[in-house]
Amino acid sequence: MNCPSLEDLVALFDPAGGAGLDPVEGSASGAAAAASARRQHVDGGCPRCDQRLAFLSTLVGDLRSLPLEPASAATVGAARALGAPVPLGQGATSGEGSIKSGWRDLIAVLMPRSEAVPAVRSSAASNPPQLYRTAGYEIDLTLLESGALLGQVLPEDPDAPGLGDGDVYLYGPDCAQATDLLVTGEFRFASVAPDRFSLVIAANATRIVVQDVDLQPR
Amino acid sequence: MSQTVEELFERARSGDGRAWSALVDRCADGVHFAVLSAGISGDEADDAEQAAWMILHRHMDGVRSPGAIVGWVATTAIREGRRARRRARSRRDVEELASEDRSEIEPEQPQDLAIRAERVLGVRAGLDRLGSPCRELLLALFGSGEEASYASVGEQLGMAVGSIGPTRARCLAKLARVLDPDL
Repeated sequence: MNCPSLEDLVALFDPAGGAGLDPVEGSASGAAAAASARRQHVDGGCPRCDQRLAFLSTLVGDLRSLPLEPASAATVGAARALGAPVPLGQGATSGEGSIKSGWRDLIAVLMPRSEAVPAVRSSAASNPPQLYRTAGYEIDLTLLESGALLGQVLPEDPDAPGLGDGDVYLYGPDCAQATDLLVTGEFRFASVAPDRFSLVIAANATRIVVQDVDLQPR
Repeated sequence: MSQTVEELFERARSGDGRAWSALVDRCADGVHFAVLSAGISGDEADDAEQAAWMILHRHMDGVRSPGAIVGWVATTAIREGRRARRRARSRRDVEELASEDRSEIEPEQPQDLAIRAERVLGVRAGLDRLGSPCRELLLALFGSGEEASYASVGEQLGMAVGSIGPTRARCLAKLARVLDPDL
């Protein structure tokens, strides 16, 4: 016997479709005999029918997973913003349509320690705070003895509004971590091994990128 | 004809911001599905997915299989989510940890979840290509997660209940052929 059609395999595999209807039996002796022959063919171990049945079974299972909850608008927006072009003149090397830098990327530069720039916070730290400054923002980082990394990003102008809440990402040679940016501008990574990192602060349409953050013990 | 994920990724990798956005739009729901399937939801899922997209953006040049990018991002997001959960867990009481259901420690592999996410995305794309009336029938039957009764589907689509079963079989077969023409 030739392999049954896909439609007949669906009927054999899932005749009622899970909807509580019983398959019509004996409505026509010819139809019932044909169905029986198809069943015997499939039960006889036809490899092609086995493969098709497995595909149909997976397909029905996937259909039941169909109501895909969409990714959140915040996630999609943040991800898309990674590829937005950078206006020229902000220190980026790429032009329109480039994804090497994002919209309003602000590249921070490590201030020389000889400058009298006060730390934003002080705490029981094994390492002195590091202060970065870029285009109107100051980023203060402190690595604690416990391995926690405390940070705060504030506008240089005390009367200017802060970034608001968002996310902070820390990229090392072999790891990446993410944490919340609070409306106070504070953020905390619970456990950071001493190394060199890139830090990205993302809030609304603004991203601040701090390259070569050196958290080695001093 | 819409571009494949692979084509979008290659264009994004060479600097096309619009291709990157299209890639995110195409893949974000599949990534989210895999993350939800891994038991990570809400803010944890958002954080994990956003971190994963950032990591992909940073490491695009190192991606060797652009066609499997949903799996790449989903696997990364699941790992980020589980890592965050372990960090949070490490701060809890030892007793609380000891009483925890150990089966949570051996979750489904991220790669398997990502493969399932890719497959479900493929089914959704296949439905879009099916056209009427099969698309409407299959969505009415399966769109709510559990298969709907023929009575409710018949009422919704104005179909005779007795015709739904055979039409369902034809539409499933048609969808199967759209997804795999060699079946």
